[in-house]
Amino acid sequence: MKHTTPFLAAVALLSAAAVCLAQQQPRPGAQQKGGKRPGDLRAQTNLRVGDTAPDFKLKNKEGDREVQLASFRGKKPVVLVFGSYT
Amino acid sequence: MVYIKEAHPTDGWQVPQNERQGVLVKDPKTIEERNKVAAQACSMLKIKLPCLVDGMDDTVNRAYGAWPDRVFVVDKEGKIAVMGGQGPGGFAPSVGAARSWLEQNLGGAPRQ
Repeated sequence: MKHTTPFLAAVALLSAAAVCLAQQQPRPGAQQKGGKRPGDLRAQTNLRVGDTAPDFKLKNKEGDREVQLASFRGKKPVVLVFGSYT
Repeated sequence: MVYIKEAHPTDGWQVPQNERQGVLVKDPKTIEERNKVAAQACSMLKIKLPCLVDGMDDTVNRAYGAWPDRVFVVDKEGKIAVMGGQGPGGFAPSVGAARSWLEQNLGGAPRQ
């Protein structure tokens, strides 16, 4: 099946990123009960499944290439993994 | 990957786990600093995904409610197909949902 190789690559990359990012998370028990801790910047979004994904145009970490989400429209799905180092 | 505002910088919500592991990063104050930490993160965490960097105004982070980490799958038509929960608790389960969606929609290898 022609999609198998990129599919497996996508899953492998997603899984690897998930493991890395999950390892960076503090244990849930470390959070205080009630209210947010200072520095907790979690914010609600009105997005729902089925909504058009907000478009964006961002540069890569090298700062030499710009990618627009909408450029993939009609071509291929995109997995967005948001995260940081810590 | 979309690198966004640091979750637990040393000058913010520092956590003991990161101190123990030597993951000590100040919250970047410029896009150049943010690019540098993004590169460090990809290198240290062995992330092979293409890495984009959110702007210092955190526009994309806010649009997706992405902080501290989150997974989305956007289908070919540009619609949100999978919307993971916010980290830390919501992140890991959403990886499974993303995987399932990919399996069903990209024709991956059948499970044994």
